[in-house]
Amino acid sequence: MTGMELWVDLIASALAHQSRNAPVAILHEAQRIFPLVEAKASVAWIHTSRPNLTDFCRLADGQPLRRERMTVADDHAVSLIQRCGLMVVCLPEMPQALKSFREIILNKSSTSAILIYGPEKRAGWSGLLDPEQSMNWTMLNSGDRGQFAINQLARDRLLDLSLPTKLDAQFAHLLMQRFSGAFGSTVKLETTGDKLSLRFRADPLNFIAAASDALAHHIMVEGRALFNSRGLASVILPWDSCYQARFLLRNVRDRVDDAEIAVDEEDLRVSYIDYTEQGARLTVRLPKIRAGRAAGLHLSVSRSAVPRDGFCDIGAAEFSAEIE
Amino acid sequence: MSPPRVLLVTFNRLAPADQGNARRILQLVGFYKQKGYEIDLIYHNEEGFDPALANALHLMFCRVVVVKSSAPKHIHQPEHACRIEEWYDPAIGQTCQHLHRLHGYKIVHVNYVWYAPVFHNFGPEVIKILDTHDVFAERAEKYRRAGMLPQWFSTSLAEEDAAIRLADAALAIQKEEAAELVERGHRNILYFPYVELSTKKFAAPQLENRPLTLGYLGSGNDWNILSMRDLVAQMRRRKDRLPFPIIVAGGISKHVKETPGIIKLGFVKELHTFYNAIDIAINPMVGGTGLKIKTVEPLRYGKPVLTTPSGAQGLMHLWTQPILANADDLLSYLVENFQGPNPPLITKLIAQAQETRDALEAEYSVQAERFSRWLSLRLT
Repeated sequence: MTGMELWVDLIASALAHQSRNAPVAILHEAQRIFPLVEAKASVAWIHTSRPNLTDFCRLADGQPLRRERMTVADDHAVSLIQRCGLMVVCLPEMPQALKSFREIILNKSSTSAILIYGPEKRAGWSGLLDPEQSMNWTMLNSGDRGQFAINQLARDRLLDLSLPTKLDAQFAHLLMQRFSGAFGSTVKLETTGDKLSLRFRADPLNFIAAASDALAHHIMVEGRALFNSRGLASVILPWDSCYQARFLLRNVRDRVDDAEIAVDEEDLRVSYIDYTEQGARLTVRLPKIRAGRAAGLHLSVSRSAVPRDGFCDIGAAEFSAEIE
Repeated sequence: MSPPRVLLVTFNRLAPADQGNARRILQLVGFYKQKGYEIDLIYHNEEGFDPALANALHLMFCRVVVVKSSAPKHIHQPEHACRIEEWYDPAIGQTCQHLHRLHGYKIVHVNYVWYAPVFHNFGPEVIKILDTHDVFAERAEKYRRAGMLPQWFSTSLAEEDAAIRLADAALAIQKEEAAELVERGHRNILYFPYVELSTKKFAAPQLENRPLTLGYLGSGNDWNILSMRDLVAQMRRRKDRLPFPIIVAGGISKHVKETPGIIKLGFVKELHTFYNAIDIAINPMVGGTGLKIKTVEPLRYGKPVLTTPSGAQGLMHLWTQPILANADDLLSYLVENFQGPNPPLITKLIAQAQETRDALEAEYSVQAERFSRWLSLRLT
């Protein structure tokens, strides 16, 4: 199942647009980011265990805030779920997570729009949705990408969008047209040959993550997507179908062609690098990330590239993802 | 059911709490915590943010959000007039809305009157508390009357009144201030005095082998500087010398000239170490606004306080210890009474201090109970 999460993000942002002041809860086993819905609504991530990395979101030009991540056991998660206008659930793999998510969905199914997604053939579907309640749910199959389940309330909210049975380029264009105001020039749909992809120019602060309290502190105070003093940076990638990331590395003092990059335990190489006045523009091709897995990209530049009197940072970031 | 969540908004550096306003804020934090409420903090970063502060705040609050300060904060001269809309930073509003959507606050508590526009971001379901800390309407005049150049925030009666009306309850730290605001037609004023929990019993000092020791601990704010300069000037002017030292500590130390009889300690990490080293505290205030927390603080540590009418402002109705008209009178009182150990007078001062502390604590209990009942009613 690849390409599902970008659709989830697009549809969730369409739904969030219609319940503007209500928060959005995203139940996910892994530490992920859905930047499109986050641009539209206040989002809290509810996990089965607390993620290892601290990540951030920025409101306008203010100092970054820690992204709201909590666990299902957290009292606060319960009150948030009661108030949320939209809930997005990634079908979990672990039985314990399935049980927790199921309880939440059963309690919320009548009062908020819910969107569940996951691989079509995962056993969890039957554990998450009661057969007797199935009439309240609309299943949407998107070929090899996986399956959506949308409850009646979510379906009603999307009625004027005439949700198609097949998620295709036409529907992607429709969603983008409808909600272009929220994304401005940061999101573009592009067709290359017969492939439709989405290019997203991101505020790197919304994607940077910190493994230590010290780095988290520096990121929050400086308001920049910083490397640590040893030249290490972590970025949370958006969507499972993200195939390319481009970063502008500022303030590097040496060549970084041999930067070490890893995603989900897979070692990667720099695909292309261009040294400019603004910094090193680095492009990396990404492996497919499974929907339920963490999507941390860890980047390490040599010590000689790190200035002694300050920090390198990511000044700009761009992600490309396949839609169709 | 999760406990009520409070959003606290402040620009004050709460750790170390070496300023009176920070101590006052922590008093309210303690009050909410005692009621079992969970507190999130928006720190409007005007007094710096560093790892030590970050760590301290994360220990105190459930969630800490730092907002960069970008309000223009114009002061219109020559009248020294400030407009609330120019001192309020709209970036706080956006953060408040985001946090409120996610956390559904029951109470929003803001400090200082120019932060009252924060309340516009919350609906009627949220209880809005404004801690005024001081009366800021025409505050510049108070400085001028003391022969000082106006400092910091001062606004018009109309602006302050409009801001106070945005709150469901506006807390006044002094009884006199509460009365003044009520006089101006406000019906949402609650007098919430400042007291600190007693940490040490009053006890007569052992003075057989050492001189009596007086002490003053204060921050380096304008009024404290003016007051200490006046005391030092009076000490230099007088022919008679004090037969014992005055220890000066806190941010004020660097503003006090080297003077025989004054020992400067600078910043003290722990208040009890300072108060354990003195026998009587002094607070020779020449003016100022708001409650003088350093007049109340020594009582917590079991030390009597000698002060002036300005130093006892807001406490007069409970104060039983001597109030000396000015620094000169204070010095005369000390010279006359403490040429040698004077156990009967010290015993008397201690008894008066105990009485004052008891009265303060009793008054605080009554007012805190009123506030607590009002909150509980509103929350249900």
